[in-house]
Amino acid sequence: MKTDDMRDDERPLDCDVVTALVPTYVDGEVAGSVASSVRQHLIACGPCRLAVQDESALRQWFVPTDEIPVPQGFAARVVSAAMAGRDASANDAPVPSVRSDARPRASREGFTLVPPAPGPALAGSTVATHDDRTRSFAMVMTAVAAAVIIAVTLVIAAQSRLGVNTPDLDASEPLDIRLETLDAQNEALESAAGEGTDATEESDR
Amino acid sequence: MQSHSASEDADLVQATLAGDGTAFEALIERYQRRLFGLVRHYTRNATEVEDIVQDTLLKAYSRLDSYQQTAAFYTWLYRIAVNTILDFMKRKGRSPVHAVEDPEIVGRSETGASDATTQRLSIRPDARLERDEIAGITRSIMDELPEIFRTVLVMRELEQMAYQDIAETLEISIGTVESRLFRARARFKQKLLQLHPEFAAGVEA
Repeated sequence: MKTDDMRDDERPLDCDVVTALVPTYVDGEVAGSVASSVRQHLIACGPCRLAVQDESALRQWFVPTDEIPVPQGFAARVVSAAMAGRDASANDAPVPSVRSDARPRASREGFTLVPPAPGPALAGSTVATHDDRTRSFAMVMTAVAAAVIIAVTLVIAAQSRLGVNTPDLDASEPLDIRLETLDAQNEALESAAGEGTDATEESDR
Repeated sequence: MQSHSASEDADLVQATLAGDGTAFEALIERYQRRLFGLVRHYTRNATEVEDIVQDTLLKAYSRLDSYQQTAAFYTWLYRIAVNTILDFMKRKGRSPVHAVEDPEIVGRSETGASDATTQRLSIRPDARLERDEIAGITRSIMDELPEIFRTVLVMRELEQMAYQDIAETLEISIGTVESRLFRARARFKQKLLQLHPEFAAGVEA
């Protein structure tokens, strides 16, 4: 019950106000005096108490996940890479990988092809000469290169068919704008893929 | 958001800028676990997590001279981390086979029209579910959300960031944080009901 000599923050809150405050109240982000008024209201109001319970129930879905242990020596490796990157920047050399397994890391521009390990000799075959091994390796590399070219061509064709422009996200943009841009791009990709699926289903009939 | 002493961070930043590698290593060791934890919310692949954290720290190193001590160091680092994660998500691309949301549900949430049915359903995890199962369900739903919603939910629900810290990181107002969280939770609840209606318990209005 309101009285004229009550301060604004002492006046009882009505359900509309409390309902709007429920998420912030459950998050613990409501200022002290207002939180006190909310608590007072909840003591007497069953529906609003249920609203708080519902909101709290949703929070129970967000449980802590198992930690990924930080690899041993990770910080030192990053520092080494940072220093190497700084020193190499003038020569435009790539930053070395810091992973302990030291596998070649895919660059942003493409993939580093790792030559396949030579397989075991077939049973009953004669021992291959050095020239034979070199020829075999060259043939394998040619086949791999051809496969890569075909794959790239198919990807370019697919992108042209989808007609989707995916401009790079500008890292200098505020994070909020980047989030909206990424979501817009994702929606465009999904819509275009959906149209492509519909067209395929039509032609199959 | 808990962080080490701001003055200690500032001292380490200055020392790093002066070329002291051990200072940079100390900075990394302060925040590497939290960065690994953050990236873990976006990908379960340990190699990808390590790569993203590495990229984040190398970017931070290259931009360290732009860090202005008006914000906490971890807020600044966190912003770089989320940008790096977004770059990764963009390169990875959202799979076209992901279900496009029911436009009617999207339409309702976009207009902000209240849906009495979904609003009054209490939706808590079944008591028989293990924590890992709950986390798995939550993760699968988060993967379906627009990035703009997933990011605020990660920050608030999983990283336990205060509204003020979320606002600073995303460079938005606290009011926008509140409204975005409201919409994100509504979308999460809709997705949860869509994918797991068995968890809904009707509540009388």
